[in-house]
Amino acid sequence: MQAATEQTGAAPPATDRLDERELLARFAAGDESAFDAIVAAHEAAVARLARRLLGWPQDVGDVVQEVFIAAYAGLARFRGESSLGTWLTRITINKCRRQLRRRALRQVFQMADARDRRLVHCGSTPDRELMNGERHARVRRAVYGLPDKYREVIVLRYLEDQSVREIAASLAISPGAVEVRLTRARARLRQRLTAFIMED
Amino acid sequence: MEDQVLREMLGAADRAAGVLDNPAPDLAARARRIAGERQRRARSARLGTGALAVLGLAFLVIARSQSRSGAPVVAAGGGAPAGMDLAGETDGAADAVRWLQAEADARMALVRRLQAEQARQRSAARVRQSRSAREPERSPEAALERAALILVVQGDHFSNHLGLTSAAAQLYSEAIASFPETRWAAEAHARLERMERGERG
Repeated sequence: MQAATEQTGAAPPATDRLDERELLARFAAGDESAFDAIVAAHEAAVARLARRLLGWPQDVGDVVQEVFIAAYAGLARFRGESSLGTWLTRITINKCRRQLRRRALRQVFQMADARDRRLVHCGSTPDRELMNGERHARVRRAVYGLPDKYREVIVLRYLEDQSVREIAASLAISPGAVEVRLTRARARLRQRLTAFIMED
Repeated sequence: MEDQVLREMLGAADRAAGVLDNPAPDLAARARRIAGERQRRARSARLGTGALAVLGLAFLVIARSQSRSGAPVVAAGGGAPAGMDLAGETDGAADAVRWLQAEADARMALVRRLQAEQARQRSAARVRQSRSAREPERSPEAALERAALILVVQGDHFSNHLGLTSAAAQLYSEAIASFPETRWAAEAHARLERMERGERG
C-alpha cells in the first residue's frame, strides 16, 4: 500500500476487467470482502489523485473515506460501462470539488504552504535545495491556483499520465472538450510559471 | 515552454511534495459502516416524510369532508370555535382548522385595509411634496436668483472657455447691479475679485 502511495506519475493501479467483474458479482451476491478487495486495490491511487487535486495537503484521509463511502453506496448501481478505476476517479474528482468549495481546506493549504516555506527557509539545507524546494512549492501553488476544470485536466494528464480518452471518460466530457481544456490550462499554467521564474 | 518540460516540472514538484501519511488500515470497514448508517438515516428520513405526508393528506381529506357535510363554521369575527365537538378527536381537529382559517382570513382582510390606507397616505404626501417643491420657483425671489444665476453661468462660460474676461466681468457686474440681494450676486462679486487678482473665474 505504502509503495503504491509513493508512486508518482503513473496510472492508477487497477484490477483488470475480469477481476473487476468477478468482484462486482461477488459484491452483488452479498460478499462484503469484495469491497475490501476493491478498496485495497484502489486506495493508494485515489489518495494520490485526491492529494494532487487538493493542492498536496499531507492528509487526504477524509476525502478518501468519502470516496469509498460513495463507492460502497453506489456500487450496486455501477453498470460496468467504464472501468472501476475510471469510476472511482470520477467520484474522487467530485469529492475534491466539493471539498475545495469548503473554505476550511484553503486554510489547510495555507498552513501547508507556510510549512513549505518554513522547510525551504530552514538554515541547515543547502542553497540549491532551498531554491529547488521553493521552485517546486511555486509550481504546486500554480497548479493549485488554477480553476477546478483546468487543474483536473493538468493533474490527470501530466501527473496521472492518463490519455485524453481516459480523461474524457473520467470527467464525462468529450475528448475534444478535454483538448480545449488542456490547451487553456497549459496556457494559464505557463503564464503563472513564467511569472514565478521571472520572480527568481 | 515545451510539453515535456512542463511534464518534468510538474513531476518534480509532485515528487518534492513527499509521500502521503499511511492510510488508515480499516478504511473499507469504516466506509461500509458509515455508508450503512447514512443509508439507514436516509431511509428513516424518507419514512418520516412519507408518514407526515400521509397524515397531512388524511387531515385534509377529513377537513374537506367535514366542511361539505355542513358542520358549523366559526364566524369571521374571531373567538373560539362555536361548534367544536371535543368528543371526537378528528372532528375537533377539523373544527380547529376551520377556526384558524377564519381567523387568518379576518387578519388578512385587516392587513389589506391597512395597506390600502398607507398607500393613500403615501400618495397624498407625494402630492403635497410636489406642490411645495414648485412653490419657490413661482416666488419673485426665486425668479431673481434664477436670473442672477444665468448671468453668472454665462460669465463663467465667457471667462473659462472663450477667454473673454472683460465680457465676463461685464456680466458679473450686471448680476451684482441688477440683482444685488441674491446669492448669485455675491458669487459674481467673488469672481470679480478673483479676476482682479489675476485668477480665472
